[in-house]
Amino acid sequence: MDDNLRIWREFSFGDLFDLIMLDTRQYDRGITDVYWNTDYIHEISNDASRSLMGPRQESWFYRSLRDSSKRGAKWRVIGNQIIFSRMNESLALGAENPLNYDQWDGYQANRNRTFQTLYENNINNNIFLAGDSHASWVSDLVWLGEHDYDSKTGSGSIGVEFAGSAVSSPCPAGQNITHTAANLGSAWLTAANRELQWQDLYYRGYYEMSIGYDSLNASYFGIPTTRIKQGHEISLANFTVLAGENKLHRRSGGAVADVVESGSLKNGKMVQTNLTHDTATGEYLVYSP
Amino acid sequence: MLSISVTTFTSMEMGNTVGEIPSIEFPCLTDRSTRKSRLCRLWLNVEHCNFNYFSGSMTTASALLHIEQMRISWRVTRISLGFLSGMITVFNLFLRILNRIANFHSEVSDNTYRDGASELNNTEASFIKDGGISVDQRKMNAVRAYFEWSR
Repeated sequence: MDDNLRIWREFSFGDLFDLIMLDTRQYDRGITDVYWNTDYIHEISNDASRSLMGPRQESWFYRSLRDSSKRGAKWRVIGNQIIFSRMNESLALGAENPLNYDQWDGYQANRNRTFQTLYENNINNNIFLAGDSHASWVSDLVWLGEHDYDSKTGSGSIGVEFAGSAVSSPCPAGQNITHTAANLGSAWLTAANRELQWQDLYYRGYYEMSIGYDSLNASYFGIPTTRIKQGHEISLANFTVLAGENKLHRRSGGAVADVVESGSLKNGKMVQTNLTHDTATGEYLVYSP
Repeated sequence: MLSISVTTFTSMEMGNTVGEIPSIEFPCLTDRSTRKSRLCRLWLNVEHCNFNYFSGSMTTASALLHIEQMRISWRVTRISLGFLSGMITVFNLFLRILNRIANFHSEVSDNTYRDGASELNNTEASFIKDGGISVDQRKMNAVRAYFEWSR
């Protein structure tokens, strides 16, 4: 068979950014957690032989990062299927296998090689995008155990990861979870993971990114209910990455300008307003379930 | 692995007059690799089906469905409206089954990797459970079917 399964590719947008799209699922990914082999995948998760992409895609990926930086593109945006940052989720997964080994956490050598490429070639302004987890996660991009990192200021980070929620797939902690319980879960997660600056479990939704030469902004939106057809959406949190800073821009202590609507923000406040934009009519209202 | 989108087809509006007979056309993939029903699990994409209405003398409706190793085809002439509505009920039932298959597929495609997914590993047990199709072969068929569709 030829190479028709290849979907990994890259797009150059002038000198503003390069979009690198990975296939971390189908192309040449080593065995993942299929639920009955979790102990085994945990055991081998740090093996150098492990790859999410296969050697061919991996070398292309690292070359693309280097070339992008060399040609002077301001930002490198890396689209991939699964969460890149370490995520201790032992609250849900148990202490024995605390990480989700279906994410980059199960392929740590691949992640280390990526970090090594970024550091050795002094590649800046890296933005990772992810999905898969049915929840929202915003993190500084940190090579834990290799470089010092200050969770408060963000120094020691080499970029940012924005991971988005789901459109309709339920919350990983249960589809009928209350907002309070979801926020408690988020607070646990941001406390357990130094690099994780904001996390939300409750909302289905999406995020928008706008990219400029000076800064890159990400706006997260949540849909108050997916059970009825309506145009409602709630602004959840807004993040800024300044060019050259390689971390979430800190304002008033946290990674957002003021407060977040839902979830948990490290060193910041969550204030629930339920202020909802009805995109069908353009009106604003306070949503009540 | 195979991307199957099924549009639920619940309210096919039929013409009120006897002269109007809907013709239901399903696209049939007849290429080499997809014709081998044993090798291809499911290749009907209902979203791509055309449900057209004809008026006048159109008296033949033919529908050809290939599902897994099952092949159903029927050709009907001089359809009465009553029979037709019965047939549409059958189709709806069929589409419901298709929906279930499609849902099943999306479920088994959790945690995918090069050689399979959570419920579909490249193991002998999985091979037997899945009706004698290896993951690699399924993948190859999916790629071929994709390029045959998009040609």
